[in-house]
Amino acid sequence: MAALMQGSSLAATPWAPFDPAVDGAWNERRVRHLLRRAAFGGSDELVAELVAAGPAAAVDRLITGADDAADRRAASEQLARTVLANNAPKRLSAWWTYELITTPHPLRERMTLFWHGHFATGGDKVTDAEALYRQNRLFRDEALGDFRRLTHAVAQDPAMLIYLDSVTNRKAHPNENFARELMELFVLGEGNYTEADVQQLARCFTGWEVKQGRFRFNRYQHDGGEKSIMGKTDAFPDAEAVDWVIDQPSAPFFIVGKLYRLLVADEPQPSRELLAPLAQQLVDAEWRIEPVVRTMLASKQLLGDSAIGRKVRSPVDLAVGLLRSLDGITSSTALADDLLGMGMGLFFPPNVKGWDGGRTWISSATLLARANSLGRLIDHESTRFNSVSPSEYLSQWTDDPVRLVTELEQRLLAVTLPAATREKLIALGRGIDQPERRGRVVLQAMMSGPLAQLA
Amino acid sequence: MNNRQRLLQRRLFLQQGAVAGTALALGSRLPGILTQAAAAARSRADDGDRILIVVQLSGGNDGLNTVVPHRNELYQAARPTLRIASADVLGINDDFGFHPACRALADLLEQDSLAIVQGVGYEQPNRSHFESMDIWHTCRRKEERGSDGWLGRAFDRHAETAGNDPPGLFLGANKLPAALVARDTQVPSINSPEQFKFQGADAQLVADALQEGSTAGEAMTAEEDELAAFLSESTAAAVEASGKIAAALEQSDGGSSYPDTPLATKLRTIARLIESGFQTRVYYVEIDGFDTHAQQADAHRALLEQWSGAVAALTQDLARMGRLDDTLVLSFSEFGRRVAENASEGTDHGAAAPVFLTGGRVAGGIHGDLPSLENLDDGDLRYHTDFRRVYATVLGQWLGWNPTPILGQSFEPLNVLRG
Amino acid sequence: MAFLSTHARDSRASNSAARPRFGWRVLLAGCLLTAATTTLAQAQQPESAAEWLPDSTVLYVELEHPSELVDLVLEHPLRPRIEALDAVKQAKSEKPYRDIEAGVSMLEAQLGMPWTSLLSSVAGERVVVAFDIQSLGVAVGLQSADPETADRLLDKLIELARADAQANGRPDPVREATIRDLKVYRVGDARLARLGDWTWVTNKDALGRSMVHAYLDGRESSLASAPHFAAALETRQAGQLWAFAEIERLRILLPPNAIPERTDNPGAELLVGGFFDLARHIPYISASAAVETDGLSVVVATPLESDWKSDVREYWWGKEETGAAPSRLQVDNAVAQIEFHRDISEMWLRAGDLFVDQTIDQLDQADSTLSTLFLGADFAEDILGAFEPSGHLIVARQSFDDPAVTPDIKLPAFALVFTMEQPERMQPQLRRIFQSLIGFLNIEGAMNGRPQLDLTMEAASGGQIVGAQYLPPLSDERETQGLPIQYNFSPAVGFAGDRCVIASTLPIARELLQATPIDNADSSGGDTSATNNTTASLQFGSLQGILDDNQSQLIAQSMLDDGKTMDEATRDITLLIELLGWVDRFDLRFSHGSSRAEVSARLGLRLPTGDE
Repeated sequence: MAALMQGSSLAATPWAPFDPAVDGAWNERRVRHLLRRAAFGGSDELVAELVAAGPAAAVDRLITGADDAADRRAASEQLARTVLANNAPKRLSAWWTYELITTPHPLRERMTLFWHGHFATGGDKVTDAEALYRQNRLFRDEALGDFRRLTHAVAQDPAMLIYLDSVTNRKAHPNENFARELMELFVLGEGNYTEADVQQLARCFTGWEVKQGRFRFNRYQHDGGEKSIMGKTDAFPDAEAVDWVIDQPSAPFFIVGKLYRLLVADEPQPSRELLAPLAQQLVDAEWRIEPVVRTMLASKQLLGDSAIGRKVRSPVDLAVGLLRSLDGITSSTALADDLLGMGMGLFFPPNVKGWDGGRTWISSATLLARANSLGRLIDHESTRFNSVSPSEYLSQWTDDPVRLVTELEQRLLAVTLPAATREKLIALGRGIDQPERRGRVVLQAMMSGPLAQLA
Repeated sequence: MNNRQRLLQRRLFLQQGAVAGTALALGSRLPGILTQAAAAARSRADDGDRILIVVQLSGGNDGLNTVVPHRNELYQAARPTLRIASADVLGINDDFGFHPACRALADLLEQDSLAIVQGVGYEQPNRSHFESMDIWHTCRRKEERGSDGWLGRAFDRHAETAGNDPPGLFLGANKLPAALVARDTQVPSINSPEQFKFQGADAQLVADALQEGSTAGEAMTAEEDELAAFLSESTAAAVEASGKIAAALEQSDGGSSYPDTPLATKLRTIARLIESGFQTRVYYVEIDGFDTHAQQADAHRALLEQWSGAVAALTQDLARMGRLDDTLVLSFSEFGRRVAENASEGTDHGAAAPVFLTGGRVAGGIHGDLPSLENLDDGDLRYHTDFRRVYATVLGQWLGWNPTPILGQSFEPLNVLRG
Repeated sequence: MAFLSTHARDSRASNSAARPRFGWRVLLAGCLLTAATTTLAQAQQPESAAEWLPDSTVLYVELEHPSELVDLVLEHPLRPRIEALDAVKQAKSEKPYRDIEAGVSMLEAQLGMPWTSLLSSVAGERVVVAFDIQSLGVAVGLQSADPETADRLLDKLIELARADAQANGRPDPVREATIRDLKVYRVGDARLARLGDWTWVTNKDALGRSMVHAYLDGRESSLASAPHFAAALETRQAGQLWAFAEIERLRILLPPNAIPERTDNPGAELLVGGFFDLARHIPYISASAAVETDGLSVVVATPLESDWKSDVREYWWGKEETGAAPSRLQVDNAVAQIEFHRDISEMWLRAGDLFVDQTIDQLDQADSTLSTLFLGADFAEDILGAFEPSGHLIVARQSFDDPAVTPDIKLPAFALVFTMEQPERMQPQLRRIFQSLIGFLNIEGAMNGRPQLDLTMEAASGGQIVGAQYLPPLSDERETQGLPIQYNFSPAVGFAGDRCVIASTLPIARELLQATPIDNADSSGGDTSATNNTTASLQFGSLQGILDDNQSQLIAQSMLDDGKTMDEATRDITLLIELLGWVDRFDLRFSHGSSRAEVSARLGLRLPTGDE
């Protein structure tokens, strides 16, 4: 029923479902593009499976995850609990890295990571690993779930409140920090509220406290009077103010805009017209994220040629993408450290704004960090591609440098290499005598290059 | 016109604020870039890439025993065991002398490269390390504090450096000091210069491949591949920067010798980065251990020696490079120490303390009077110079950035810089 | 000789008439002389390996009956279990190992005998490795019990090498030469010769030549006659392996400041400072090792003179001959026990002479901080100086009986046992300091949301224990099964008589306050009459227990650090823990007497019984 509604209102828009008959071949190249956006790349096996399944079924598979996803979830939570014994956020980063590499449900992890950046909370300030884990689990539970419920939960999440310096909020001196971030960063975006709104909204959250690591409502500190926020005057008891903010017309556009940036393209910024059908869908679906994500993933706009290579890979996309595309694994502890070095420390966002993404991933420092991290990953003694060492895995192609470059390019890059670059890589391969080094160096050089940073 | 020139032109074009579409795509940073592009261009022309290096002395440096009022009887009476005798100080003027461990600083003073600002602090002094340091970092008291620091705010408003280099850099293993935390800008912290080189056994091969790979490719001129072009250019810049730094770090110090101490090693790294043409304008380092509650004499001597030796070595190196006039080093501590010594031959947390500025354009000598040793604030020196005036001087007169929006109010700058 | 001279007198007496008789006497004398010389020459042919080697040999290692050792290892009951380890399987599947394996199989096929037989034929008696400093050459000697078979095998090997090279179109790798009518071979850099019982291989012409001369003429001065070697030989213990190193000559080779005057690592100085003194002075080292099925023992001995012990290290050696470590205490579930004689107070006070400037500065800063903590008392002199210079460090496995206060990560308990010099004065002072410390920890903990410590005081063993226990948490809404890591600790300080115990848990403090010394604790071997400076022991049973307690943590770590799946990690960790069970203990001892210093160590294994 929902799909029918979806189809009819979106039919004439770029969000209509991708049709292989009209919009382009449904082939390996397109499936790998979908996997780069919806997951973190995919193995040869998964690619074959999705090519055979067709666009709608492929999206479906990505949204529901592999068959054993539920069992593996329980095991991963058990592992998390063991890791929590150290009470070290850095160990939690290693745990999440392991999950990203091995998860049977990569789209859910991608969305969890998205919410982590959206509702940024950092281990540098929130030193209780348990609090961070609880928040992470919340993001995972509601990854493709109900945004309203998610926002309500986050608004009273101890880790969030500690990070935003909002552990106390007094009637006499309302803490505007949280109110501002709620509107600016979480729901509406800059420019869609006034300073007066911030002050009034801050009054709604008076009495919200975090004591002993738990959320508590201190009724003595609560200002129960009437507040005027964005056109409505009310007492806004409980957390009704959060609902009011979510009900603002700019909210769905803000969220959908962010999803666009996550899934479709970093730039140019999408126009209001382009986002309107999705915003409408989000509201119609009562703020459930899944239908919107499904629409986006299956759409012409995302699957069409114009979207291929329009995003800059985040460090996770780069490293985890490399591993998942080659059915690989590595030391999660080492990789988590390297992700931090590349600017994407899991549980360690740089500030409350999370990660802006796009071009902000790129600077001299981060590009060097990427090249060095890739080198370390490929050479690490624990790294395996398809259960064998990288040298051994690549040895199937290293006899012929042309073939080596082609096979890697096909699996790992979003765009085709220009002839000159390809020649350079082939020459690099030819110039290395030892076969077991050849594959690794060519792989590192290819993945550190500018075009490999495109997704 | 080759690809690279075309790309650079395009960047300039963006900076001038045209092409709204691509501009907006860069996110909320851009409004700043648009309005500040003109200002940045102007400031660069005026201030010629001036550099600020902040040295934070953590723990509370005992200013009274650094710039010593050795003849003052109240001083002598308050510190029977810790006082520095007139015979031991390195004279500055009739009333003051340096702690004997600060020989290197005394030399700088003679070369007119050191300015000392007395009595710096703030009202209602807070004697907790964390609180007071937070105040120095954010310029806000606890109730109004956000997470960004004074330099972070400055970067958010003014970060436009060429060549993808970060506007500020922290050298150290600890987490980024609050002073550098910004909302929009990322300030990297590096533990060692190794992080700026291609590492691994195959480093050179990879670097070469990237260099050629990014300049090759005619296909990158098309409009639709502007993103690819940006990536190409950035990669080339990264390889170049890495090469410059590797070369700079390998070359000798050109005769300047740095002492073998942690602080000196960090300052040496900064000197190498500056020499390699790194465009970063603000560097930040830290030296810890000044919280000398007991047995102060030896510990303080060691720290002062490390600090003064490192700063002096850096100054000499900058002079050799010809960059001394472009550089300003600001050394500060979160508070001073009590006038009277305690029962453990140490001193407890205090309030006002001196701040030190070194560089080629400082007005050498002592600025301001030592606060009265008689009229104390609960046993501590009373401040007379708000620390934000120091920041205002550094931001406004040195870096060319309007201090008022950054500090929240207008503060009268000090007269410590020449030219 | 007397016979000849008598004869000469006789011949002079009867000169004119005896001339024709003189001729055959001279001939007889000449024959006898030749015979005597020949016998002497044969008697001069070197017997022991040391007689073969020049006196400029500075390193000498000898292994007796190598085949026995090889058999011991190959047939060791633990071998199959070690080979089942993932890491070992991994290493065996790597190219280098496979190449070697292939090479050995091929050789065995060609020679028609397993490689172990080859070894026993060619080197059945002993293997010797030596390094000569004059020629900078390495010599490897293989003494065979059956020289003819050795000859035959060598010829066969050379034949094989030549055939292989020819088959692959390479030139002949083996070149032949003769030195004084003896055939010598050259393969690459190696020079090889069969001399009597021995096969010698060396990498330097000069050394090779000298070996041949030694074979034919004997040596005037060989390694055997070198005084240090002879002295070292006397200290040789039972065991298959023995090594000698002429430290005096090797020390000359080192750059001027190789043995630093001052170090930058206080921990290392405390542990092995005395060895710096030794390194500077000892003329030679003699090391013996015995390998048996149930363990491995090593004894390393050097001479010792009292003026080698530097003054600044008096804290380490002890005054005169009195630097003895205390006897080991009986402790349940001990994992590691170290007994030592160190005057830490004196070391700290002498820091100016022992450490580099940077370290001295760091110690000054630490002193300042610690003195603050200890309420103004001078840390080095008052606090550290209150104890006698000998003590114990004990690490023991904890038993967690109450699930309500069991932490997730189960650490062992740690404790230091000292003897107080002035108990009446020190006891109240230490107690006060302990209380302040707990108070400080509580305040700091409260600021950072950590659990709080509750002070307890109890009488024990005729003395008193002051301790602190963590209060169980109020909320039980934790993700993890157990409690945070702090619950491994209940710091305590105990006093009884002049014994002072500083411990991380109350139970171990109680136990140690009344612990008594074990008889014959040390099983490391070596000279038991000397003064023990440091003794240590590691009990693998308890260590295994600790790892067992923390299995889930180790598995998680293996998954995250090494990228293993849950199954792989579980298998690996279980195997590792099981393997540890086969090691019994490791004992180490450093002792010194009036003229000798010795390090002795023993690793004991626990062998599987039939049904394990």
